[in-house]
Amino acid sequence: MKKIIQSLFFTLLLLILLGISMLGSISPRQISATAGSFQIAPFKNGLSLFQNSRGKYYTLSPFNDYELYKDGSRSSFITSEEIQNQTFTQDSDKNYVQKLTQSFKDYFGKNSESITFTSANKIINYKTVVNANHVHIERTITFENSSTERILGMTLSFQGNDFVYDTKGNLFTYIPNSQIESFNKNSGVSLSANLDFLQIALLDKKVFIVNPDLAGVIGVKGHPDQIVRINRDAKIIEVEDVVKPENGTTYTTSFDIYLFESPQEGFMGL
Amino acid sequence: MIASLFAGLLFFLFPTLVGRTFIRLLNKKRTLAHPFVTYFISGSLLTYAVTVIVYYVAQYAKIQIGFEYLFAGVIALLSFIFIPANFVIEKFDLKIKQLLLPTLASFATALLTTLLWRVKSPHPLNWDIYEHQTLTNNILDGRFSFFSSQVTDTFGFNGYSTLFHTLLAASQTFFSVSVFDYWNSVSFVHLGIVCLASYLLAKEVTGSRAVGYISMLLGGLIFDSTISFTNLFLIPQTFTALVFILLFTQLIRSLKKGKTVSLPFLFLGSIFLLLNHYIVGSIAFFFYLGTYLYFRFQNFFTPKIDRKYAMAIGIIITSIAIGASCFLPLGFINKGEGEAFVLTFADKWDVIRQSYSLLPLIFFPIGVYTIIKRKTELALYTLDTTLALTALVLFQLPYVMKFFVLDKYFFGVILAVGLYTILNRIKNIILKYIGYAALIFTLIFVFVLNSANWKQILIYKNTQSHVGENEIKAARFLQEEYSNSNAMVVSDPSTQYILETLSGVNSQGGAYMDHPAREELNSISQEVDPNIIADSLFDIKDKVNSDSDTRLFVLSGRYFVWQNQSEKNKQDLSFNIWHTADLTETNKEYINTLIAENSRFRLVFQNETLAIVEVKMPDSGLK
Repeated sequence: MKKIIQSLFFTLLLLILLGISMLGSISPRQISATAGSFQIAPFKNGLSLFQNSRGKYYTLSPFNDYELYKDGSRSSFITSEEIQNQTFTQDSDKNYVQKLTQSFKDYFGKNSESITFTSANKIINYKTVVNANHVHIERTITFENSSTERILGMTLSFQGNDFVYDTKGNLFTYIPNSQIESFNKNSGVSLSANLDFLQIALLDKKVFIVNPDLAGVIGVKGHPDQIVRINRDAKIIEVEDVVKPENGTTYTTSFDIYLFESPQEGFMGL
Repeated sequence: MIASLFAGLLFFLFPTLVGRTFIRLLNKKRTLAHPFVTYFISGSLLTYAVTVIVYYVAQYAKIQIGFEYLFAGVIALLSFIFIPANFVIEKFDLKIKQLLLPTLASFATALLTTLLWRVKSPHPLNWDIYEHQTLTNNILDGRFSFFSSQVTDTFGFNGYSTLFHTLLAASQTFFSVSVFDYWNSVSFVHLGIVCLASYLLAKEVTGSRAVGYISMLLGGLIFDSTISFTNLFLIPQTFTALVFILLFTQLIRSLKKGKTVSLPFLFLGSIFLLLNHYIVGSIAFFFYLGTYLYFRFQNFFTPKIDRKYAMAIGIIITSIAIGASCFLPLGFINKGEGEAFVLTFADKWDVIRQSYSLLPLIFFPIGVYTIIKRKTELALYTLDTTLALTALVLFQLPYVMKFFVLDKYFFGVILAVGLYTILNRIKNIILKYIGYAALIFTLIFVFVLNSANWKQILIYKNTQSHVGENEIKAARFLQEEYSNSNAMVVSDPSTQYILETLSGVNSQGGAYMDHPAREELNSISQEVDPNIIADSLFDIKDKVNSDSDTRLFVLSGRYFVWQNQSEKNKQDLSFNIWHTADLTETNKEYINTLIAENSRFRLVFQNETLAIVEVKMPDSGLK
């Protein structure tokens, strides 16, 4: 009996000491999911697509996402006052132990990323599931009390010097002609400038983004019942739809992003 | 692939078999403790000595046969004479009883570690393999010298002789190897032997197999991932440390049997350590010789020195010296890469934490307490050695973290004693298994987080690697089209470093491109005139090999990322673009403009990651 108690004591002691030892590990600064030549990771302002050491981010953020009201006005999910007063929280800063265990699991393969923002009257969660070069993005918003249909918009930001074009080759951002010619020559596709609109909804719900300083193409694809709009003024792609609540208060919206190696592959693949 | 794997094994096997015959011919009667290390050392030194002699005699006598053929002749001769003789001279006594289980366990630990390390990493992650393989390629192409910097300008200084590379070349002489398969193989065997050496050291010192096995696990799963790289990377410093530990273990075992290692063997071991790494080898030599002398004259020392007082005085003096080292005016040695390797105490603590987590903080003191309490001479001596080496590592001087490559084995023994002190108190067999399982899980957890940290900057698509498939394809193209020419690759340091090794086409210094070449390359980024760019490419010259009339300007995604860095980063030898990057639209536009505007530029290869542009010398001839 004495032996067993002694063994139990030292086993427990060993387990505690080993447990404490593990707590000293240093977790990586960031473990991201990889989709094509892009990575996805949570940041302070949302989930972003980016490429290693190139400093350009394509972000899904509640600061840009919006609700459209019947009177035509719109408001973002987290307002500028809430940002200024920091009256919201987000969970990308996990606690130390969670970070360690998450990093351990992520080492063996990470195919999803998520981030949750909590403000005074709503909880907004973004979740991405990656499969090779395909990223399925799902956002759920839980309002404090709600039971009606809402018009909700999801957004993906882009850069000022991006080529943003549709499947017919209409280029909706201002790019110098010499650059367009060069792009057409390099990529084997044919783009022509169409700058008549500051905002335009795309009938086939598909749009491509190419940044001249990044490798690869981002393809955005909405569902048939959604409106996919390029907002050149705000430099965002808007994916808008009428959403019915689940469980009375939760609204789920989704769309898809595909990452391609080249514009030609994009035309074939989206 | 099989040939590459076998060649990797030959790196260790060939010298061992040659050395066994050599030693047995010279020394028939004497039995050695752990003889394989002596066989390996003597076979290596014999191979190297014959190679050096043949090279310098051929130079002196102006023999018109390419050195590559002479070298192949040397290896063939040694193979045909010494290897078959192994089976004639004496029966193999493999000491299966003693070593089979530890060897199997060592390679099982190595396999587990390798599988964990290679998650998402299809290619070796040892950045130094490129420079060592480049030197090896040069030897196989007939360029040889005792001094590494005279064989290729990838080596800016001579930190070691070419012994290590001669052994690499010897194992590759008769095989067409795939560089990555070869290094995966040789690194795996190295890791297995590191685990075995960790076991042998701990077992010899403490007399406990259990402590030996714990030390083996620590040897495999604890990766000192900054500067020293003891277990996962086979490089001259880690190779020196491994041989030193085996020699140290041999010495201890001989002493335990009441014998001593004879002076010729002591001499051979010392020469090997020194030739293999001048700095780490010197420290290893000091401890090897010191250990020999201490135990040889133990009867003289023991009655006169009180260990407690000696230790206390030693700790006080060393602490003062470590403190003072921060203030020594040693700026003159903190140059080049050295500047990046002066670590503060806080940095060093982070390095230890990253590799070991808090294991040393908890179990090292328990190990020290147990050893002091038990008062076993060998264990106490090992503790002294550990403390001395740890003190050396703590000095605020450049490169001292390299000495951890020697310390890690001893440090592991003390830690293993600390862990065993508690495990040994668990008498119930099931609980004991739970204890060992918890230890293994802890080590895996620490190793995985350490690896995740280390590899986080290497992400490219769904891999974590220094090199991408498109670069490998480009290297294959260069090898097929240009490896027999005297064309020279010019690109950012990382790109040319990788391509030179994989293709065999020369570059200026690889990742260690010299400062004038870096300045010249930097000037290209601001230049728009293609003729001036072409001229600048010919101003980048290899100082070891003869110049050529063709430059292969490799415009890779990395090249453009490198060109966007600060001047300071571009001049920094320790700064590299560590991961593959694909070409952007802006990059492709630049390439198109360059080749369109000047007939001296000819695009010969392009994929998503890089373009290779052949640039010809103007008709006026070489600059």
